[in-house]
Amino acid sequence: MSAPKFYGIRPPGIEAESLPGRLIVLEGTDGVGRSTQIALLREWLEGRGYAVIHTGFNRSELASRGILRAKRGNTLDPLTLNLFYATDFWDRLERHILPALRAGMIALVDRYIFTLIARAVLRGVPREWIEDVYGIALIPDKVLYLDMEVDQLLPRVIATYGLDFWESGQDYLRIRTCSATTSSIRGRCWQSTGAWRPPTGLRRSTPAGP
Amino acid sequence: MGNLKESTYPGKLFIVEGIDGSGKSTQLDLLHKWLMSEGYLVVFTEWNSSPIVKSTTRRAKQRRLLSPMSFSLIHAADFASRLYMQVIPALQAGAIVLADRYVYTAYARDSVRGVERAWLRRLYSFAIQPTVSFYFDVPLDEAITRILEGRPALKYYEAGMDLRLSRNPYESFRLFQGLIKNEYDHLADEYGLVRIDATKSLVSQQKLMRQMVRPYIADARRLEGIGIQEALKEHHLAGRYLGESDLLKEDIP
Repeated sequence: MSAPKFYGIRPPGIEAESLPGRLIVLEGTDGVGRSTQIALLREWLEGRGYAVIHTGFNRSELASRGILRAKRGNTLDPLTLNLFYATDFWDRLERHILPALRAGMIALVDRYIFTLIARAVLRGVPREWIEDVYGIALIPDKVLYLDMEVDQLLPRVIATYGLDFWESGQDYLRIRTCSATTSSIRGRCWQSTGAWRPPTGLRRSTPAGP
Repeated sequence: MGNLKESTYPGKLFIVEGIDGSGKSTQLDLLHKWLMSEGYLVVFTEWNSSPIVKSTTRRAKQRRLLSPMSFSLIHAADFASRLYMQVIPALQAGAIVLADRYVYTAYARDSVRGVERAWLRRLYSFAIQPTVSFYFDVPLDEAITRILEGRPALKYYEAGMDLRLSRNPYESFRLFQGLIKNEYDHLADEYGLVRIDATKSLVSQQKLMRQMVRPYIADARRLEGIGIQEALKEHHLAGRYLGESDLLKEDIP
């Protein structure tokens, strides 16, 4: 049996075991259509008989409430926030994703470490440090990055759920454009997908099942 | 020696480390009171006490949600929060900061839980190098006796039950503390922590601590003037709500 591969260290509690499932990650900024694509992918995969789980950012039982509470205040430094996110990430990986992969399921993950790293770097966290922290991440089988220009993105976000304080980066007004986030993520992803295309076209360009 | 950040601040940072029952908190408290009585501006911070993070950790411990890695990360979050909210602002203001446990607690505990040592050092590389670090060295049996005296039950993570060393909490606690002590003994050498023989009398331990601290604090900030009560009295200001009120305590949620 081959050991699961991680970006940096092998975290405790992960044995040399085979993970028969597949880890598929969707990355991309807010409003780019990740949820829609995941919903369609899920439908498609389940229709072909695969067992699928879907998990997203900031949804862990352990840390999600704490993160929400912390964001309501105004004394949150970037390191604390990012270590909170890292806790949330790890809890999700350990509690949702790994068991699914052990059971041979396909895990569709709405944002993984790349969004987290890009946002941290923009908030002034040293890149080397945050990448090191996420050395605990299991390397996905496939990472899809939904790419879209900010001027196309903005109307979508405004038309749907509006701009949230943290999502729009108002804690960090030194950022002049969101394209910095985009390029930061882009450098870390291997496959870019044109998210401006209609959903049906995009779905066909995603990988076939395992 | 240091993989921590050298301090560029005018303040001083003194920290204590040691296994549970080593008497480090008692000694730090004595040091705190002495420094206050000498008129210094002193700020105290302790492990796992961040107002932002603590409630998450507490809830997670109650529900036993923590794995070695999430235990490590949430405590790092707590540490970061206190460093940026309490420690660094105080050091910038020239205060003396006293910390009950510091990064070495994480190095010791988390590595016992199986987290890679080198990664832990990189995780905490944002921490400020203390002016002096004290390690309270106590034989395991002595510490265990002190802790268990009059204590009804050990908590799950406190006893290291998550490590599955033993099903008996007391036995688990003993094994867990032994492993941590082993880590501490190495850390003390590696990082030049000042060893204090914690079997010596309270007074002689405190004497040694003050001796070690004194050379660094000559320039530390002193509290100017007098307390608020005295200041008001000087101007003949009095009132029945002043005496007993929490005048200076701000309501921190």
